[in-house]
Amino acid sequence: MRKILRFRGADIRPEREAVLKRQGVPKSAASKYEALLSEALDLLTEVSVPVAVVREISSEEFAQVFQGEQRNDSPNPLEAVFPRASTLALFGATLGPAVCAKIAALFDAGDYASWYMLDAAASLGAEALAKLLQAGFRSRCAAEGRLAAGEAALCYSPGYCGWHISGQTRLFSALGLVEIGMTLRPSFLMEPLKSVSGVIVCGESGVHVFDDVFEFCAECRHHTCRERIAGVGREHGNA
Amino acid sequence: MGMLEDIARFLEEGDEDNVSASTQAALKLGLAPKEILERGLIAGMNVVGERFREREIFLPDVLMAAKAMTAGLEHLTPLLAEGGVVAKGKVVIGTVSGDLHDIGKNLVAIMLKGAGFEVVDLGKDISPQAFVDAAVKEKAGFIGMSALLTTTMPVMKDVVALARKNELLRKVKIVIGGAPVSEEYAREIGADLYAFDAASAVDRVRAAADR
Repeated sequence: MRKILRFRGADIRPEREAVLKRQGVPKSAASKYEALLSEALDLLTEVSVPVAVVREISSEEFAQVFQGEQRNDSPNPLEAVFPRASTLALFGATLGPAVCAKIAALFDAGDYASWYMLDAAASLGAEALAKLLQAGFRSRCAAEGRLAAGEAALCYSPGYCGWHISGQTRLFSALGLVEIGMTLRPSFLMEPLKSVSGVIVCGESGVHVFDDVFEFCAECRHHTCRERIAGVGREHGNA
Repeated sequence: MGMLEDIARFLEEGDEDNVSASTQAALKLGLAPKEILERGLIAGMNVVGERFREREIFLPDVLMAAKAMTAGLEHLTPLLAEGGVVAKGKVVIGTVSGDLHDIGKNLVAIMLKGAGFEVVDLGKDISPQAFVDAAVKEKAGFIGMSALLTTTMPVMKDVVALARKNELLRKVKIVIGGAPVSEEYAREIGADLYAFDAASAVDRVRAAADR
């Protein structure tokens, strides 16, 4: 079933510490940027209009979406993860165009510190929105008795971990994201920029565990998969 | 403490009002715009850059200092132009076509200005021809390109190829950066410089300009 979900700006307000960490600011220096940070978070809350489309999808249908334009790296982790999932849902979500316009306006006005602070907060806000969808889908499956104890939900997105970004085309088409104002450029870039998309995979927590030893991992700067996988473990008291 | 040292200190503190007021006061006292720029604003930004590299201060401080520098430059730029004072170099910069991510490019532009370079910011989603045309028109010493997507990264190769064919851009140096870009990729496409981040972009452009 396809659902359009709307949220409040306050729902996607990121942790203060995370916004500063994103800019390389350590905890010990955080107090210096309190005013700047508060201003950015308030602005984000005020101008964001978070909206999402979520659609549950069968493993077979997802295999078609995932295949995209046949440009995925192989092997990749998701091709091993999704066939073992108990349930899957595609999602696309955006904070809306106003926040992107505000970020651009701050830069144009020369308010560089505010510009960068709001941009960092909005990027984390988009990630928070994906996490909300992930938690919501997991809760729904659990409430419907479709999730066994120990099962965890985790999002995967085109453009990461070997899922080629061209996979966005089929994903957008399967979700009908135009209805919530999301479009795709020929380079597969989402507009508005502060948007997220992908698949929520529910399954045994072990399903999500993989080592970062794929060919493309060597070029990855962040290896955030480690933290994500550790998060799944923590959720189930395994960390 | 002298007026130029005051300007540098206010800039380090990101105090745009005082940078603006002190720059005006220095001009009223008859100090040369070039001297105010180099021994006040750029000297202050150099300290900011150094402290940033040493992790004594962080990106928001650099950005506040950059805004303060802009406040001072507003008074100096017309006078510098009148006096025929030239910048350390001119950089035409943009995010390649298909890509709308301009955070990295903007940071580089801000920091290059702080280091005394003239920056012509073409914006985002810039075609190869537009990069080359702008570099010719502006008589730029550098073309700076940024891409955040693997799908837009190949545009950099097109820009390099187009620039190399242009006789008027024989001396132009091309610098590239962005998340999927690497030193190896820069070599592969024939770019002159690769920058891992905004700070290293400034270091590399500065080093190339001094050669």
